[in-house]
Amino acid sequence: MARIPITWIGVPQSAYRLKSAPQTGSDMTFSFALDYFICVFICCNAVLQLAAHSADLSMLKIIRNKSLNYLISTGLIFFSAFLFFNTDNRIINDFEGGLDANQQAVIFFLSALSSFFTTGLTASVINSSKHKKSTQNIGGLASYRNYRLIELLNGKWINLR
Amino acid sequence: MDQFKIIDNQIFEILHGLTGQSASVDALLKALASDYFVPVGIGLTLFFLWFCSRTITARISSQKIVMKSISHMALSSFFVLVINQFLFVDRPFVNNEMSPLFYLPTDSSFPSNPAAGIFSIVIQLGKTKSARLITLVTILFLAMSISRVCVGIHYPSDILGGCSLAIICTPVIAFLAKKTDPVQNFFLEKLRIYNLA
Repeated sequence: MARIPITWIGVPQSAYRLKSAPQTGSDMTFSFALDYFICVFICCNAVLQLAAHSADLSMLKIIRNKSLNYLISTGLIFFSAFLFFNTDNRIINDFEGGLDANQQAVIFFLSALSSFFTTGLTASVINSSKHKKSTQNIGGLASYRNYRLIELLNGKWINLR
Repeated sequence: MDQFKIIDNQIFEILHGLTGQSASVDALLKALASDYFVPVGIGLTLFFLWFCSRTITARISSQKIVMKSISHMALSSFFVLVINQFLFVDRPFVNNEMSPLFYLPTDSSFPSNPAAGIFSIVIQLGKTKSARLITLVTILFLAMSISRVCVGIHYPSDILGGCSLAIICTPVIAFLAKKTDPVQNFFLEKLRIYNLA
């Protein structure tokens, strides 16, 4: 059986394409994807904080003060955009190391999902003294008004077992 | 038709003439026209819409709008792909002696794929009751469309073509959304079990 070079395993398609493209000759795609992931992750955390205040999801709030939260979240969104566009040349074609629409969509989804769990877990720690045990769990996102993510995950785990 | 092309070219020349005056304006236009700034902005708006509602009825409605927006964008992009199999229009930098601020895209100029995709989302988000969200996405769409003409990778007619395509897809999406309503409810119910909807 032919041995697959180790560099092929787990490398995104465009990273391989980039390696084979003579004009670039660097592992820019992986770094580009990582940069994109990090910046979207920061933005999603900020947006989630804005949404948590808007929907009054108390147990997802990291910053309790509404005005301060608005200020910090908006600042974080602009900061991550600034970070993304000022750290490297981002105006590149997808076959020259950029991301195509499908890759962007997948990375965006993954960062959004990770930001949700990061926010949920961070807020679980911060709000550990604030949870209301006596309230009935109504399910869905509204559960985050009374329950922390860690409690809901724990409940799901007990049900599974 | 020729008259239309002349007007199209004139508008293009006026807008493209705005570049090269100031380095910071050029940098801003490049960022706005890029494949990342506005698409991520729109994505974040949809992410916000998924979580922001207070009541269950409003939340279901918002989340259905998010799903319809994504489907509408996908359908418009698919139609752009189909049209491009039969029609190829050169980019402005091919026909004019100019140096675009952007990388040189190799696909067809008409209809504009980003305009079709983003305008699809603008149409769907128009159904929300939040005037702030509608204003935000409209500004993002206009900024992206104008800047893509300014940096020299689209004619104004490409943008109009993309918008028209998104409008044409609207009844199709409305029909599909009506037919798949039970599926959407089922999907949201499943997500609700895991506290994600």
